[in-house]
Amino acid sequence: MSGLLLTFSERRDILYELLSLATRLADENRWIVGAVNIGQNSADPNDVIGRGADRVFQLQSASGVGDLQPQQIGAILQHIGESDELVMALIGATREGNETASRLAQMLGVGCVTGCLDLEVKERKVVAWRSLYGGKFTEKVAINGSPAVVTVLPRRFTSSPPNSQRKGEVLITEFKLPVPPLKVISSEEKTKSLADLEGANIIISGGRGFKKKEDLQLLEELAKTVGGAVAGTRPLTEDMDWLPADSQVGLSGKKVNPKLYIACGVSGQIQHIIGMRDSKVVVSINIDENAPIFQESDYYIVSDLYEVLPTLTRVFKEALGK
Amino acid sequence: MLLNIVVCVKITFDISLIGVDSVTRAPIFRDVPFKISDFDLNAIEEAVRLKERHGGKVTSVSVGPIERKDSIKRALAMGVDEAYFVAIDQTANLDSLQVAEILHAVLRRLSADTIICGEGSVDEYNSQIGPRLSELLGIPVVAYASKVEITDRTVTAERSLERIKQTVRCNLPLILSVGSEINEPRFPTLLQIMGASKKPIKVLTTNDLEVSLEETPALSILDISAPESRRRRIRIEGDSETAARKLVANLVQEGVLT
Ligand SMILES: Cc1cc2nc3c(=O)[nH]c(=O)nc-3n(C[C@H](O)[C@H](O)[C@H](O)COP(=O)(O)OP(=O)(O)OC[C@H]3O[C@@H](n4cnc5c(N)ncnc54)[C@H](O)[C@@H]3O)c2cc1C
Repeated sequence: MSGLLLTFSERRDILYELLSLATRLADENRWIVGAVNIGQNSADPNDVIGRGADRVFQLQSASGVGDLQPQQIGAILQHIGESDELVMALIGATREGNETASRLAQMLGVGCVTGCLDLEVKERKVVAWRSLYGGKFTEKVAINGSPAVVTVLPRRFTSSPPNSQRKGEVLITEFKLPVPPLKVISSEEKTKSLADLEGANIIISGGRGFKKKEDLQLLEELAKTVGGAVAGTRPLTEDMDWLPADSQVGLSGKKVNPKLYIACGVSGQIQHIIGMRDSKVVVSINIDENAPIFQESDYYIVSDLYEVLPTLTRVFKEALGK
Repeated sequence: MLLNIVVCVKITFDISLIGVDSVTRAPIFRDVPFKISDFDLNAIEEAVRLKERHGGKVTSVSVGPIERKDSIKRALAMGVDEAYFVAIDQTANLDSLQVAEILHAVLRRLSADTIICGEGSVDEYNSQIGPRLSELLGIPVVAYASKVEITDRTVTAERSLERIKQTVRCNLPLILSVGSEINEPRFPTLLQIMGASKKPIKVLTTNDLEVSLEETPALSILDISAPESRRRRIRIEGDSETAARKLVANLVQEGVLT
């Protein structure tokens, strides 16, 4: 066996997803799977082994390691990669993860593919799939240099169930952390949406067709009636702050696949579509007859959402016996 | 305190106008116009606002095929003082490693104290340039900044990460990456658009900059194709009441309500 495939995510759920992809790639190529288990959300190293890691790398001075900045994590990954033959770094495609990966790639002088949908290794070459042009296209790209540094989107792979019989080793790395470049003055958790979008069966989403924050009540009432989760477009979650950031669906938000997705006052720009096009049935309501969202819908209503939504909620209530 | 601001601006295809070949599903670029990448407009706007507040100069730097050069005029009309355009071979498909190296070569010459770029480009959304420049220049990056204040060369910025909102502080020089939430890019007036034609666009080549790019690019594109949409596109007509009833009946039948 030779070649180290290193995995890292500051989110434990994503690390476990990466490990399930990593074990597949490692089995095919006789590589070793390493996991870097550092930072605030690090896990019990035995759990990490149980999810697929052959080697778990930890820092000696684990205490005092709070929220590490991407620059520090990049330096740790590079350091670990130096002592083994690093063939690939698999990192979770979060905002922090993309920064970490870009930094690591730059330190190593190699390319990097962010936001991969899938990966394979063919004739010793790593091939990645990712979205292009806002998601209108899928690109297949070969990574020429080594190591291959990539970030993988959350929820593309299912983590393997924990296996307490799995064997692996825990390695304590001695490494002097670089001084964090940014001084953190304050840090607060973003408001979390109540529902788990990625696991939802029904999602009711809103866009800029809503004129004020209070009007989102219409969306919430419909969601409550059908037992769905509320989501939104980027203008609502980021620009206007009307909805929690984690309820954003799209290229720079979540990729969801509910049984039913109802889009209200959403234009259907490709960056939004890419996040919801795996839904089973899509319904849209838009006042503009030519709204692109209709092309991505199974059923659509050309109308004012302010008129349709209250009626729709009432009819749903009757139909569902509520 | 005068600021020497550089904004990195990518000129991309207007991706909403890229066609799809109905047989091969490949992209069709014929007659697709160019434009400044969406979040780079936010970067330009923030650069110009910082200049208006603190004084100084805004320079833009772009890397791309020469036929895209004219799109940078919009940045000049918005208030950028001077533009650099590094012209590359039209067929070269530069990856982020190469683009960062070229930008680095220009930035070294400009000795900027504030560098602003978009969080990712509208065509590829690699989100790599800010962090890569940070490594190359050895200065910090505040990625995904949503609010920026500078006092006495100390920068305080708010930013939004995956699950947290942070306020961070560091000294100049630094790099910021920004998205749509930071500001609303201005629409230049006719007068400003006319004025922009007098501002300089300096065209450079990689030879001028003495950067030699790797012979094998880091990435090779094997295929680009559009996934097919299988949606039924059934329009539900009638007044609200009728439409709602029809829709609900359909959804009940599809069994997606449980
Ligand atoms: C790199 C990048 C990443 C991005 N990532 C994302 C992402 O992850 N998610 C995302 O959503 N966007 C993303 N965007 C933004 C995206 O391009 C669009 O700008 C956004 O999705 C549009 O949101 P919207 O549909 O709410 O607003 P708009 O495009 O303004 O559409 C509003 C719609 O409401 C309709 N409307 C208005 N009034 C009514 C009414 N009374 N009744 C019914 N309909 C009405 C209008 O006809 C219109 O179609 C990204 C953009 C870029 C450049």
